[in-house]
Amino acid sequence: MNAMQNKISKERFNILCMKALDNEFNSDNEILEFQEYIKKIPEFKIEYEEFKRIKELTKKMNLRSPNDDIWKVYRMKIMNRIERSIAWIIFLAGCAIILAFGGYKAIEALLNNTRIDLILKIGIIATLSGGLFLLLSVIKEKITLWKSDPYKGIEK
Amino acid sequence: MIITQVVKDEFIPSKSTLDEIEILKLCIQGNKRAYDIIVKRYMKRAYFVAFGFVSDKDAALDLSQDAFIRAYRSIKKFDLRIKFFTYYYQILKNLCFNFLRDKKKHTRAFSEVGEEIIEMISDDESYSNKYEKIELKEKLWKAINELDDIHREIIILKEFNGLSYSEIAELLNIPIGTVMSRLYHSRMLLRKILTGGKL
Repeated sequence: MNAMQNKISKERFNILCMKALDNEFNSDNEILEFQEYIKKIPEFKIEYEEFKRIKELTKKMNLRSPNDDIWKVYRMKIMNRIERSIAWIIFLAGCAIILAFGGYKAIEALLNNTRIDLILKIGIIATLSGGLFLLLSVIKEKITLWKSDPYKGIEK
Repeated sequence: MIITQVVKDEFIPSKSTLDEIEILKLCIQGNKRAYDIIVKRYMKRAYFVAFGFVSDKDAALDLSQDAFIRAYRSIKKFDLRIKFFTYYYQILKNLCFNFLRDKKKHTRAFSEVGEEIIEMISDDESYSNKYEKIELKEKLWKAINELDDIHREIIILKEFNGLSYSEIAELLNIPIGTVMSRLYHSRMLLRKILTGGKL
């Protein structure tokens, strides 16, 4: 029972000790409770004093901010990259439209060409259709794999 | 209605007249200038968090920029009930951890990080000797970098970003009690490292 009580009071002290270090007490009662611990248990006082020293040391150590010029470029780079990604989407959409239209016109011209044998027309269309289906199948597989890949966030 | 009008005109009222939710609503509607306000508001904190993780100035700048771009790409899915930095922080943290895993390096020596990036507040009378100060900085930096990710993260947020317990709890999506106990263990580990394990 005593050991359990000691464990509880140590856990309570740990919390109060953090609050004391970070000035996060919620009430005066907590401050009094903490002071009581420090007064009664010398090991707790030693622990608190050592934490305080570490806290003071980290307080004196600052991360220095890069200069203002860097921040201006920083924001500009972000905005440029966002704009570029939108431009890429538009560009790729444009390419898809051109390719689809070009493909349609090419097949139309092939079908209307009377100088090419029917068997050759069928061969060309079958080759192109097969190639297209293969490409779509590979893209579909890649997308499915990517969606279910638990490591997709890891940059290689 | 007012917001729609603002978007159409591509006009952003002064920062003080817009709170974060209003700015984010504009961002969700695709307003890049509104997003620039968000970037300006959080870029330094983002850099310090990233630097705390990767200990590399250039990488911290790159990673925090990447995280802003990724956050913007998925801003349409953003839940306005949470704060932007909480959402952004998850992206940044993942990028930083991926970077460390990729580079297979967790720490950089103080000599590599350099005094340009970490400064010691100089009005300290208790350490009269300059070399003693540098040695202390080195020791502390080394000790922080020896902590595992979870403990280093909370020290960075508390000591170098000055966040309150409630802010840390929100950012890490953990109860305040967990913040305090995690901080306690982190400080205990630091103490152990700094005293050479003599505890």
